[in-house]
Amino acid sequence: MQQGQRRQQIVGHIVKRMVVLVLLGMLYNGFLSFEWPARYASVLGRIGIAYGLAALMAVYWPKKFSMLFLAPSFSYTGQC
Amino acid sequence: MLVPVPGVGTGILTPDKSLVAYVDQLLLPGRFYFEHYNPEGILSTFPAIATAQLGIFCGFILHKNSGAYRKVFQLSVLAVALIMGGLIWNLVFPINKNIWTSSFVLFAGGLSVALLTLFYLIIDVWNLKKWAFPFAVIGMNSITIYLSQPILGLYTPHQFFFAGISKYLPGGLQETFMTFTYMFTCWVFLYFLYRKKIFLKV
Repeated sequence: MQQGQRRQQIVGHIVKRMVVLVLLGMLYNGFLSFEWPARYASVLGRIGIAYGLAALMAVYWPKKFSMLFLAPSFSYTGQC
Repeated sequence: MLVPVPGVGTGILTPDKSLVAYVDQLLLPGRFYFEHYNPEGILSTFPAIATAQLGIFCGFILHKNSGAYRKVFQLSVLAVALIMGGLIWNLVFPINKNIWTSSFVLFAGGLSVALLTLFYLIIDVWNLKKWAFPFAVIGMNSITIYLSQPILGLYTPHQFFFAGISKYLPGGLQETFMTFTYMFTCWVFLYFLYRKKIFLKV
């Protein structure tokens, strides 16, 4: 039970960090100039999302299993 | 390279016709950094997750209850394997940061793991810490300094202090001088924050 609560805390922290980084990235792109179209993709957003999804996998999946995601992300080779 | 892009076909890696550009144009609203795609677009997020996972993997190794030199050895093996793998894969699928190709993940990841290993060895294992202080000042506030560029405009104080001196330098040196003094200006700002114990955490 206690471990479940601790995990919930960690997940909350990860998600918060993801959201904050995406928003900071949009701020950097000059979102507050309110000129459209805005640019949503950003360096900090990239860091936030890539970090966040990797971290969530590490939290929820067993150690060895989460590394398996490396394989599907490499199937991207077959994509571009 | 095997998935066909509508209207283009397979295996095209030019900026305007790659699958990365196609997916960004299809799914990502708003303006792009480049004309046809974003260097932080949708499709390249997936291999970027793999890059982040390499960092987590290093964390697993460093967290283990094994000896320091064993960790250094394991990390070194990982670094060499990633660099070699990246270079070999580069022959098939070129290293390209803008579309975050998997060969880029391997190669850049390998270089990063190599540097991490080196600094772990010097700073943590050999306990030689003092020289790294200037870098710690930057690293403690990395997002602060990134955001300070557009928001605070540190180029203004930089110009104020250094533009005059640079006029007396020979032409070829001026740019170099201005670059290093700009870094110095940013660093002084960060040092001030460090002394005041102000850190931006997310």
